[in-house]
Amino acid sequence: MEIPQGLKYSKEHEWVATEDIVATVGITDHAQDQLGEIVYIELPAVGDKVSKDDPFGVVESVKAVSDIYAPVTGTVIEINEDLPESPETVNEDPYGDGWLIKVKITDLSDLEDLMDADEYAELLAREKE
Amino acid sequence: MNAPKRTVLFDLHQKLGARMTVFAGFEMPVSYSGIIEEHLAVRNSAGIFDLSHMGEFEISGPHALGTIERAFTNSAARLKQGHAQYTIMCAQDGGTIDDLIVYRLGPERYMLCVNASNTDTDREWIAELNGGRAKFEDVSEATALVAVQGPCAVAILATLADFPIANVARFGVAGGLIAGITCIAARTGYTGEDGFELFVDNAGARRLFEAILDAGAGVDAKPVGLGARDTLRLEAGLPLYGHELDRNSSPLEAGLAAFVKLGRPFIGAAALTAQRDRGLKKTLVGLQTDDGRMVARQGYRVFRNGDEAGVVTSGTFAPSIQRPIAMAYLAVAGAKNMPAVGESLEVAIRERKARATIVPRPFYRRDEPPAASAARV
Repeated sequence: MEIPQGLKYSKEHEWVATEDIVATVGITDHAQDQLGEIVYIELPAVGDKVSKDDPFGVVESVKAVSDIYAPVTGTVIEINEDLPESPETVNEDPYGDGWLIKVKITDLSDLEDLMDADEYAELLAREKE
Repeated sequence: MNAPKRTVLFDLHQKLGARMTVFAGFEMPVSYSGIIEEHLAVRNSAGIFDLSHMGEFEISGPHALGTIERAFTNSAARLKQGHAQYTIMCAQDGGTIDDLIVYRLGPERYMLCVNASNTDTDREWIAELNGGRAKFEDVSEATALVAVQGPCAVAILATLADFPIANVARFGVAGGLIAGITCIAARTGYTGEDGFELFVDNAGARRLFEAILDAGAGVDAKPVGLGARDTLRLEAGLPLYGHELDRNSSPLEAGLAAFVKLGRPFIGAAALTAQRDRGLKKTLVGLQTDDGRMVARQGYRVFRNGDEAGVVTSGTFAPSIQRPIAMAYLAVAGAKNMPAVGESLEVAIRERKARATIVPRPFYRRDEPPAASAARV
């Protein structure tokens, strides 16, 4: 399972890439693998507020539906417009073209609660037991 | 909770890289290469399934037919030797205990194939009803079941069988060697495609499964898990016990009247006759959500003219028709407000009510429809 260095990870299996006060959010390789083939993604609108640890969207695979949780509090400034047409991009490239939303972070200290790549790898190893 | 059981093919599933899950107390493959890919392999070529978790009973002797006739809703009296029949086992109140297939293997010898989740319940129910008259035996633990389904299924098996397997009629049953393994081969299935279900002793199961995979490699036949088995049966509009059928749902409510032969003294006949005469309280419909790819899943509430009127029993994204489909029970009051194809409903999907339309079942139909053949038996 791919876990790139340099990203932050949540226990709900979202990843965050930060640039200044903007967080790009997606779901991890592990999350997409667990879900299986993704067929539908529901995202917030630009301008919507998202709250740390609250659901901001839904990802639906052939076999299941799951909430996606916001890893930080903030305002949505961009959403991945390609996903409604090709949700399978999240399976194919979860850390790249399969990104979900960009959020202007309200409080940068939210990032301190997230895991780095090594800590997230440990979480996955523990969950596997 | 006991440790899950494993079928005799467990090691092979691991070798084939299957993702496993626990279903009906068995550790079973959900998928190997991906649900959509496996689903499409069955629609376009062939898929090979391990269904060894399912229950098999043998019932024989001069009283076998009597017990079968009393236990099940379809009439086995006109079931010819070498043929199989879909049927339902009801409680006195008409609720469904299980749905199953009866295979007539000899003049007084029958096999029953039941849902894995109901094997224990069924065995006790039938044993009590039989009261020791016919010889009745649960052979589930010694029996493996391999299904081969899809437009190429019969051609693949024909290269391995020592008997003219292609000549077996739909819902026909034949015995013979396939890849050197003694099989009971039944031209039945649960996918909406042509194909066979092969009952074998555990000892031969792996050799049979691998021989079919090899023989099918040229047409890209694939091993298929329970994930695609569910999407395939849903597209074919087939009920699944625990979803469309349960103790609170009768076969008439589930739209299975073709398999209920009233006017005979079977368990539940009085209740089902009353349902037929007084009208049903609920009825099963096929649904399609109108916008997007939001799936109406099991347990979601259904609204009719703004009022809550039912619940979704199964729903999925349908790979062959590239849109979400579902089945749902709708409350009805006799014949007056029966739902009709084309009627618009709403399904509560998370916080919103999504528009949905009643559509005919099956959702997917091959040119020569298997459902019509099933209805003839």
